[in-house]
Amino acid sequence: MALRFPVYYKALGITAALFVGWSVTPVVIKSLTRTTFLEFQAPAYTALSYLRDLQEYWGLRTRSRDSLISAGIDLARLNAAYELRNQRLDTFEAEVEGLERLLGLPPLPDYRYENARVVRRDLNTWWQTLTIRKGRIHGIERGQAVIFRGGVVGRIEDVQTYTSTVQLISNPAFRIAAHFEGDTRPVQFQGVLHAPLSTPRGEVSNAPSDIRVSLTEPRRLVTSRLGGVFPDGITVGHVFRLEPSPDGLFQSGAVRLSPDLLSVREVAVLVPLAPESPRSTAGEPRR
Amino acid sequence: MPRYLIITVVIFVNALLLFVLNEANHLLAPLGVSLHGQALAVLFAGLYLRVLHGAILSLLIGLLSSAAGPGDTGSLTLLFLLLWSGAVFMRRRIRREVKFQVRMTALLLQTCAFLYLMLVFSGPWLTLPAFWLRVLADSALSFIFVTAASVAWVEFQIRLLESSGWDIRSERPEDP
Repeated sequence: MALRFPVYYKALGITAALFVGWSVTPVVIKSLTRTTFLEFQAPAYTALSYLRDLQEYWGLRTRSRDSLISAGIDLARLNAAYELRNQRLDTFEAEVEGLERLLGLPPLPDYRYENARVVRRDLNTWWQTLTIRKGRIHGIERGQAVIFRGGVVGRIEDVQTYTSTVQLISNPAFRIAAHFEGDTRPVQFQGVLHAPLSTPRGEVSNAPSDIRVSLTEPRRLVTSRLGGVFPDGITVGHVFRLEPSPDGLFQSGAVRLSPDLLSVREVAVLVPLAPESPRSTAGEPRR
Repeated sequence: MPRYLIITVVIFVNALLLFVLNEANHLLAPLGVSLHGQALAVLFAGLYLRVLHGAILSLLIGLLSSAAGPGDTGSLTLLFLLLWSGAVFMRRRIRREVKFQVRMTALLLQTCAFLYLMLVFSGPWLTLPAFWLRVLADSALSFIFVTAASVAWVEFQIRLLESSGWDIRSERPEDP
């Protein structure tokens, strides 16, 4: 009589065989499989994001002309303020270039801003990533910085042809070099898991012991160019409390990130410009 | 309609389920909670389909879901295959016509999914209170969803097969 195995033995056997087969599969094939399945589903998510944009457009179409005119006036005031700020920045940049020439220093890295809409947010307990609607054909590469109006969003983790995956700053695997505003000494920032219905947060460590913060006088944490990814001075978050480390040499504490981080809809990828490329002209976003 | 085409439709339908869940998580992201429904994607395949068809479905759904996940694609694909194996194991232990038993099977599988994710991806976070709050919130939301949708989802797929001329209810595939 032929030996027959229960059906769940077959199922477990197939699972074990596939697991062993996958374990010995070359990395190239694994990477190719992953890319294939990502590219296969990317158009669906992209199409859905376009539908959301269309929905938002038609929602705005229902606004009254008065509210749109009022919003336009507010934007014009904001643009005027930014234009004046740009003019001051032109002066500062010219001074920096002059000092670089005088002291024989290498030029600071420059970037162009590649704006991208967020296609998908995957923010669960174990990983926190965004998918954006720009990819390799737009000049985006792995490791590039991603920012939004509230500050740092994260870093490009993976790039496909038309989409990219961003590792969010609140991801516990995310780390960057930073410093407190007005202080050049480097500190380390790392993302931290946050509870539901709470503001995303991170942790700052290796803060100098003479830094003082309080609930009424928090200090802004900004990016440091020492990491080589982010330009200097972009907002990471705010620190309201620091506690001394066990050795007493440094301090550490929680960093409150922008509450808009979890609902961000448009980001900018900082694509580094080659050193010989012309700097951005007036009117275009600057570093 | 040939059976391999019908299986393809079932795979597509379950891929669509994951797509809808991902979209729901996109909308829930500002609240700091997420919805998980891995058990639903393989429940029908485990309870009704032949082993070969179920394995193909679970493998493809796993590869689709894990392509956008962190690290090696194999970890999340293995999750779907293990959940499917669990559903096959339950096939002879429950009566598929009894809705309560199907719901409990779905809940059990989803619990196993959470345990697997905690084991593979949690690392040093197990000591963090925020981690457990997050897991509790996600699991509560997911369990409510799985309980509410499991029977309807299985029934939908059965009707889909019946409309294609495949009377899956009367079949008892691969009984020992």
